[in-house]
Amino acid sequence: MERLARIARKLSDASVKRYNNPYEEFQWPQDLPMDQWHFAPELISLYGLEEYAALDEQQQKQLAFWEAVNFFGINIHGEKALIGGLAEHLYYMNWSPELSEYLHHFLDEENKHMTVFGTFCHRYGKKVYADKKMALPRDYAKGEADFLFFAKVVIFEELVDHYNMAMGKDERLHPLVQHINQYHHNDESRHLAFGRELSKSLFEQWAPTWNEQTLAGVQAYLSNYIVSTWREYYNPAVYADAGFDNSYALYQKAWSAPACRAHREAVSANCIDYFLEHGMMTERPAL
Amino acid sequence: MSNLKHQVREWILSTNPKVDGATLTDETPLLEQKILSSIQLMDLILFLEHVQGQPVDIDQVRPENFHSLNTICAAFAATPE
Repeated sequence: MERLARIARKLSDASVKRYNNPYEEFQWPQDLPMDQWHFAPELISLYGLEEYAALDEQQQKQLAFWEAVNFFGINIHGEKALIGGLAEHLYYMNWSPELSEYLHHFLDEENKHMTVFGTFCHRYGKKVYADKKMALPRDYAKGEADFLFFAKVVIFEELVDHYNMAMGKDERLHPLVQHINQYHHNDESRHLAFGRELSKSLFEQWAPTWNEQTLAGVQAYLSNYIVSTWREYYNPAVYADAGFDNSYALYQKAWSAPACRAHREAVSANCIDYFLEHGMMTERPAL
Repeated sequence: MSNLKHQVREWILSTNPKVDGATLTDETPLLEQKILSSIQLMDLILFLEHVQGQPVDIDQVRPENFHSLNTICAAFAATPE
């Protein structure tokens, strides 16, 4: 925990230094030009499918816009769950004060991100796509729920950050979309550093006390979480809004398409490698 | 058997090849017996939206709605069955 406290102190200093005000930083045009890209074409969930290739460029841009609304919605729902969990971990009695100090910054930054994503979705999409993830109640061994929460933080943020990094510097995209992605990435790199260290530290602290059944449950839980997080990137409502008649069939086809699976494996690799390297996972999930 | 119940039953059997159709009753506890996982719930909600032709009000959905075929139909049937 001493190393973690040092890292948390550094991250808090960085958060203070990079403190931002999204209410002033972002300019929101009345409308977005639909002849521009709002999502990188290679990151569109149907990319690689014949149905995507059959669209003309304007239809692809239309789909890209709804993919952006979906992606920002995924961020909203993920960060909403994150905020709840972070708040619960404030002032944990046996954690060093530096951790709570950084959690305050973490919470503040996540709340601000959500307002940016929410503004985009409401203003331009007139909606936030619903979160269909459903957690089932289960029992936890001592320390397990804390570890799983921060491990989920890492998984969620690693995946979105891959998209943020790519789109934050993608000059094909509308400047507002680039800006949102870059803005998110700037804070997420600190959150990821914290989440990685804390999840590793919690695992090292508690895993030796867990039995085989708990360890197997951890592997299954994290595998399920990665898969269900990815599922949200394939949204039949997006395909319907983009004008596809067969949105549910398309969702099923995209999820099982080899090109899409290869994309999920490539994007998840860093995160899964980290968990495997430190024993937090014992095998790669089937994506 | 209602149409929705039949469709959900077929969906469960097609996504869970290990489940024996002969033992899957309207009251089989799907969560307790781990016939449905959390990932499958997400997929099942999308399937329900597809067959019903309307979005599910996700804020009102609770895990217990997926206890059995009977509770699923009670919670999600567009019209009372």
